[in-house]
Amino acid sequence: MPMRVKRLRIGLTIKFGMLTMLPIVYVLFVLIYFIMESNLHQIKPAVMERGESIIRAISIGSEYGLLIENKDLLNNVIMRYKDEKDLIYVIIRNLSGDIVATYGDVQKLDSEKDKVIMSSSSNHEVKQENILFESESNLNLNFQLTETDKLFDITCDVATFSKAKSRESIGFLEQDSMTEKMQKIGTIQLGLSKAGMIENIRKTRLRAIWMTGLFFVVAILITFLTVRKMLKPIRQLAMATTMVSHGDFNQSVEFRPKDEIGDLTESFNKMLVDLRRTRDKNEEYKKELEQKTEQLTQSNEELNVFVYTVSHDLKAPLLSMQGFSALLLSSQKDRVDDTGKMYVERIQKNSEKMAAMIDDLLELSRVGRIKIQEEQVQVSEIISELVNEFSPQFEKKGTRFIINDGMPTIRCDRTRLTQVFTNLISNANKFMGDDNKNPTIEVGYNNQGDYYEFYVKDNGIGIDREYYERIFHIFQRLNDVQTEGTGVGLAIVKKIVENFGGRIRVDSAKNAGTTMYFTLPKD
Amino acid sequence: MINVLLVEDDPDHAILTKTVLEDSKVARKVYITPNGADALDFVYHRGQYNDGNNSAVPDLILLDVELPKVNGFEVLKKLKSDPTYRAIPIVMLTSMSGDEQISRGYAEGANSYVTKPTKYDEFSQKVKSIGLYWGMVNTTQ
Repeated sequence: MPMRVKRLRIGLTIKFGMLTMLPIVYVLFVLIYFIMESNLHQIKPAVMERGESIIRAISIGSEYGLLIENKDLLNNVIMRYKDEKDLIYVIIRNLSGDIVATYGDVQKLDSEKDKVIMSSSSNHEVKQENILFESESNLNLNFQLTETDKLFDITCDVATFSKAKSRESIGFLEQDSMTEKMQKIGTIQLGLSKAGMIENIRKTRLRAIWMTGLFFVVAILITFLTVRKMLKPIRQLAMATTMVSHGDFNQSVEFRPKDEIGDLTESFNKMLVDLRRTRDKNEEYKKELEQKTEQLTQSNEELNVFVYTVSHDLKAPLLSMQGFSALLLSSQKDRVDDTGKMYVERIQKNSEKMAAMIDDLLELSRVGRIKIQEEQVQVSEIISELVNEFSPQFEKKGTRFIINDGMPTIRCDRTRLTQVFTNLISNANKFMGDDNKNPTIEVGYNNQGDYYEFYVKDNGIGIDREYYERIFHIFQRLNDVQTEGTGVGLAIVKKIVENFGGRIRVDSAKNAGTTMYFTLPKD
Repeated sequence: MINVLLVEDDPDHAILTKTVLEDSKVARKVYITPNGADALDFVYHRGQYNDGNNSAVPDLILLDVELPKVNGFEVLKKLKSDPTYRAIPIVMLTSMSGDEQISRGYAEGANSYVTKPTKYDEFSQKVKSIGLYWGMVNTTQ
């Protein structure tokens, strides 16, 4: 079904049709021009010729009558031609101009005298013609044509040849010569009505016009039908393409003429096959993706729940272990010797360690679970609070703490950000090294366009480049370091930072201090 | 010195808790029921606790949330909707620290909600202070 196009469109059919019609139209215009031009100008020679022939005939017939001035003879002659079409009148005059015979409506002539359109004498040519024609007759004709509004008036002389001998004496020679003399003996005048001719012309013109019109219409029809047929494949192609653009890929154009359009159609069909295939593939991929995402989300959820549950379930026995160990050392201490006490203490230490690890795991899982609450946080405020909290630890190691000025305010979860700084600062202090004369921790930031980059810098024992990755893994501690902590601190920091949409990196070298950088989007 | 009913399914925790309560002289007697059904039987003097004369009504109930068969919250609801026993203070104990659990506990009428710490000294502190507090509160009788 063809689509309705709302805006004004001049289709190819019209364009090509018009192109094809151009020569036809041109020809038609020319024809019409000629038709219109076929006015009386062009029939004049015909009229004249007709008039001539009639007059000639009458002339010949009336020569004798004029010579002997016999009216009856002349009338007879005229009567022979009275049924000539368009003949209004015939007037035969003698030499003196008197009318010797007439026929028809002479009044008309008089009334028309004032309406002379044109008057012409065409002696020469006619004469020439006539001489040739009338070589056998004794007549020489002299035509005069007068055209009025309603009639043609043709007048001509009737003349007769007379031969005369003449003798000329030239000295003593006598020369006889025959001279032919033309002698006018009268005039014939006839009038031919224009009316019939005009009518004829009109009829012809009309016929010509409506035939032309008919021809034109037929031509248009044929042209447009043909052009339409020719353009059918293009239209099909256009339609199919529109359907495709609206999302319907199940198109195929069957029409395939053996020309460039056919190539186009073939390519189109091929492209569509590919499009369909791609679209189907995409659908598949989309579904797969959705499935996978759902699975992942579910897995993640399950994992979180698992970690959470397990951590809590692991805690209960720990309490028991700790409890009984403590009781052994308190209420049962009399029953236990020193070695026993030492063993019990080791049990306690280990269960404490385990408890700490579980707490860390819980913490890690909470990062993923608990909702983030965003607010505008003044970083300097957080740091100051932390400095207070850490003062005992700082005192223990003699750590100097520097905080840079102008720390920004950023939109994030306060608790989480605090956690990040806590862990980083705690780590920095932990890994100062026992030989460090002037342990210093510095906290600052850099402005980086869309991000703030914060750093926590220490001059502690540093981290070897090969461990850069490992330090962020859970429970990965570097072998040659004897420190507290179970090793999820950095994992937690990494998770939090990445949840915010930032990144964390480390810049350090063995015994050369460590700087931890992390970015947060400004939002 | 009060009578305490401890509803706890973990035998080790039970022993520890009882020890703390008795050693600190907070509790005169600590009764232990390993699950919710038995706890209710105890309070109502029925089933295995049907001994008519047993007038031991607990002054404080320490109720672990994670119990087999009848869940801690069920016991809580039951007791708090019973006019006779509504007045007995109930302290919920749990290893978990979920907010939803806490709010539910209070919604159902728990007098207090406490998490069991892993460190024994913390634990014994907590238990002791719970006992002292509720013991004093209830020793208006």
